[in-house]
Amino acid sequence: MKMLDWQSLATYNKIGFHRFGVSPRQMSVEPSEIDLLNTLDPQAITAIHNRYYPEVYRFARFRVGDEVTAEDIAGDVFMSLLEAVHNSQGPYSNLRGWLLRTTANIVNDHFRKLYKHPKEDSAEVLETSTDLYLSQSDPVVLSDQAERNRLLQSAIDKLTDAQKLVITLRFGNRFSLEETAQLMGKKANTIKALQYRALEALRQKLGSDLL
Amino acid sequence: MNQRLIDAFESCIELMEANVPLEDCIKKYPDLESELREILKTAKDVMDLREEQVPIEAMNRNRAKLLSQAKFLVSNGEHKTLVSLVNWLVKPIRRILNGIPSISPFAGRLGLVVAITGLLILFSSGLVITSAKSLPGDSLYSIKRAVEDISVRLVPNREVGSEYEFNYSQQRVTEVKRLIELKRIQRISFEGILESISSSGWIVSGIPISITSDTSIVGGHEGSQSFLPGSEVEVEGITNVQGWVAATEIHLREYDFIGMVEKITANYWQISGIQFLITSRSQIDVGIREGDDVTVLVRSEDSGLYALAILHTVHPFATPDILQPNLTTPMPSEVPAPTVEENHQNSGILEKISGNYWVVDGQIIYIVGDTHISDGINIGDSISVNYKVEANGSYTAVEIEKIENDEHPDEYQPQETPEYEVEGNNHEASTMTIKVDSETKESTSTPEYEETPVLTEDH
Repeated sequence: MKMLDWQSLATYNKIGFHRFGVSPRQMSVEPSEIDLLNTLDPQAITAIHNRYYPEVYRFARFRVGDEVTAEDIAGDVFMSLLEAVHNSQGPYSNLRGWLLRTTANIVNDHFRKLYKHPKEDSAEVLETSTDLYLSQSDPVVLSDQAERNRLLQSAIDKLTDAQKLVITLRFGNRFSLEETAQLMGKKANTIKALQYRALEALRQKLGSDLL
Repeated sequence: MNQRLIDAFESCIELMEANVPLEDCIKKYPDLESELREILKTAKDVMDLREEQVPIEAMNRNRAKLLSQAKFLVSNGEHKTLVSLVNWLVKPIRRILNGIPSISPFAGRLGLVVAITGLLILFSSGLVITSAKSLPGDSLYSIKRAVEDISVRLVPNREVGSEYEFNYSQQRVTEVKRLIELKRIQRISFEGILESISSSGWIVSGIPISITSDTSIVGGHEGSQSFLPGSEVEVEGITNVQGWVAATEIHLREYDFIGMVEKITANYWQISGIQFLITSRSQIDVGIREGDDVTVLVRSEDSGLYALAILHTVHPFATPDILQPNLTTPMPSEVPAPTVEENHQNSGILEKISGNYWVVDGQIIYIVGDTHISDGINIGDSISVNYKVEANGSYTAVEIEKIENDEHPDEYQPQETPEYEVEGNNHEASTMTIKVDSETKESTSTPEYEETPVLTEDH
């Protein structure tokens, strides 16, 4: 299992998350919950894990497109949380933002390592895993879809950090405009424009990749 | 970017998230159909990447692993002691830091910069205050000198800068005296006034200096003969436990030079074969032309010889105190200056007595033979000066009296000083100079400068 290094943690803000943003819904955790987390209370850890694991997993899954890798990344995120709390470097007001920042960072590290050490063809990875893009029911039809998804995944990865983030939060995690704006520390109108530009860039990249 | 298009796109995204077909969304915005269709198709493809289902088994495995790790960390005593203590101490600070950037990312960064700057200022201020009492050889002494250099460079005008330099020069003397008191052996360097010369040694600003055969003496154009009591010198040497400074080098910083003007340029004058650099601070008598005999007050620096003043030989002694420099490099003028005949009255503290001039509240007043000086005047006394303005703008004392009571500070009114300006070269006389010559009648000699030779007869 890969643990997040502290140098990477220090770069969270660079990837577009607003470190201290709080969602109007349940973006923040009550101080008592964080206090319990700081004592490494098992019940608090269980509650936090149950609440946020799905979001962390969906974030990772949307980005990497691979179930197994997404599970590993989600596991790394929560282990990083424990390590951070143990070293008094954990979250103190916005646990959700902290977890998603960590997820985004580990995903970036994952792709960085993949590009540096391309041991396997990424298409093969997708095909050999129990990938969401493949369906056992109609392999012929969905193999084209899988190829298109692979290209889409690759195109997303070529976007800027902010564009990747806004697409992941809005389309991968189904966060509302306001939640996304709070997490990224931007205004809702800015998020609107950002996601439009991101999708426009994605469309152009897909067009050039398909040619 | 078209805001309506962006808003329409967002509206369509929300509809599509509610399972409204893409085409139905587009129909709501017929005028934007072409722009929306392609990008919404891309959005739909991106939405299809989403996987709602979370693998429960993987989640349970991860939770079990997490709890196991937490148990391991809890069992580690370090967490409950040191880390908890650090966390408890740091938590309030972190919460404060957390609150600041929630205003905006920019405000957060700004706050951080301000906080760091404040800490640096506090730290550096403490360092500066601590270093203020340091002496040569102390670890903080270099900081003290650096602060002095910076403060001189940051002063608003040159006059204040000169005052700072003078004060710092006085500090060097004080430091050397302190080193001698402490019987510390330390290499030092300071500038001061040569007070006496004898076979047993020299005294510079009250500090005994021993001259040995190894002492290098850098004098003026007349060599060691240039060293006269009252001269400004720089002493380099080593303090010793016997209470004096063993000089390694004595450098005459200011001295007079008499010669004939051979060449006049904007940057330098050549006088009797020697080039003197001219700065905006150089005081130059008007009407000097090539071929004239002049007296130059020379400031000897490592970078060259600077003319502090170039005067007609009518003023045999020049002055080092150029308090208000000219704004432009002064050049001699052939236009005769007007003579102001009437006398003026002023008063102030007598700061310095030299051979042919006195310094009163920073103003230079020349003493001439006709000047009547009352008895018992010493440096530091309040005096009243009756003077007249010469054609070259200098001030010549007519009568000097000691003010017995302590009323001078209120009486002294600098605005009464007559202003004088020479048209044509913008050479504004700003210092008071009072001439002295062989006929000068000084009723009492000044104790501090008894040994100052009178050389006025030579000129």
